[in-house]
Amino acid sequence: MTEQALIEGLKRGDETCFQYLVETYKDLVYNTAYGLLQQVQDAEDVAQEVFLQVFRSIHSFKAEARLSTWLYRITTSRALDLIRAKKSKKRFGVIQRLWSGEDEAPLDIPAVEHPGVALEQKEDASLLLRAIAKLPENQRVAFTLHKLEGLSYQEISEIMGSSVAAVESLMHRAKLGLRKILEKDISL
Amino acid sequence: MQTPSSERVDQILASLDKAQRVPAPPFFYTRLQARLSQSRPEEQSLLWLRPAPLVGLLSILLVLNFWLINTPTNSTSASATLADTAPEDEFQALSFEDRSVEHTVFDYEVGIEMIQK
Repeated sequence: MTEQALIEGLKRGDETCFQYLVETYKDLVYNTAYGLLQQVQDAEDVAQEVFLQVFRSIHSFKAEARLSTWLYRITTSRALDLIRAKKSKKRFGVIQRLWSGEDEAPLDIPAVEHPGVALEQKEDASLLLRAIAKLPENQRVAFTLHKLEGLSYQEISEIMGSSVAAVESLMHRAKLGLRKILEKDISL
Repeated sequence: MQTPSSERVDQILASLDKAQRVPAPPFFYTRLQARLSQSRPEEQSLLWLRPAPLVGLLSILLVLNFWLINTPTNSTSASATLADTAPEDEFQALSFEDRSVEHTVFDYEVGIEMIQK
């Protein structure tokens, strides 16, 4: 099925086309969400929300961009929304604990294990994923899309709506930031 | 020349280079369908809040309002009936007043007594 036929089918509300879309792109969406969120359940929730959004707003999709670009855009946006919501919830929890005078320490980020990494690389990958989680949002998105989805700077620039030079700069800063975080983590 | 820690950092940075794509969990589409069917009743309950149905609803309310203003109601016909019967009531009230000042035989006798005195 061509992308054009798929989009037309989705606009008609054809369920077969929707199933085809999900089966074709579910791994792309899930892997991107997992890379950003680093949690199985959150990644699945976001992946489902992405397809629900596609189902509801396919009429607003303009064929100026590729379908995959649109899916990457929705996925990163949804994943970042969830990260922000969790951060604010965590902040609120800390304030609440301070207010109530409880001593319970906030939960730390759990050890991340990427299922797609070879066994001998798992420990290093876990360190790297924890470091990625500490990067600013834009750098995090660019680095994840490049490393885990294997996208080129050109493709990332289309997804993020910026220039290739801006993505290059983001990647450069992300690598510097990661190096700093990792050096600190290793020395501990 | 690279330091041992710098080499170690490079090693960690390269650890995701050959990472395979994480596949979506099994029965993903089935679970998505269940979620989709759950979200549909909510969407339907909020259907009237969408612009087109809302405009339609407001138009119907406007037409009904206009019709109610311009149609004579039961209350106005009731007041008209009251207006029609009002003179008769007035007449009856007057005649009652007349009867109240009507001179009786007793009044007449009292009058004669006063004259004689």
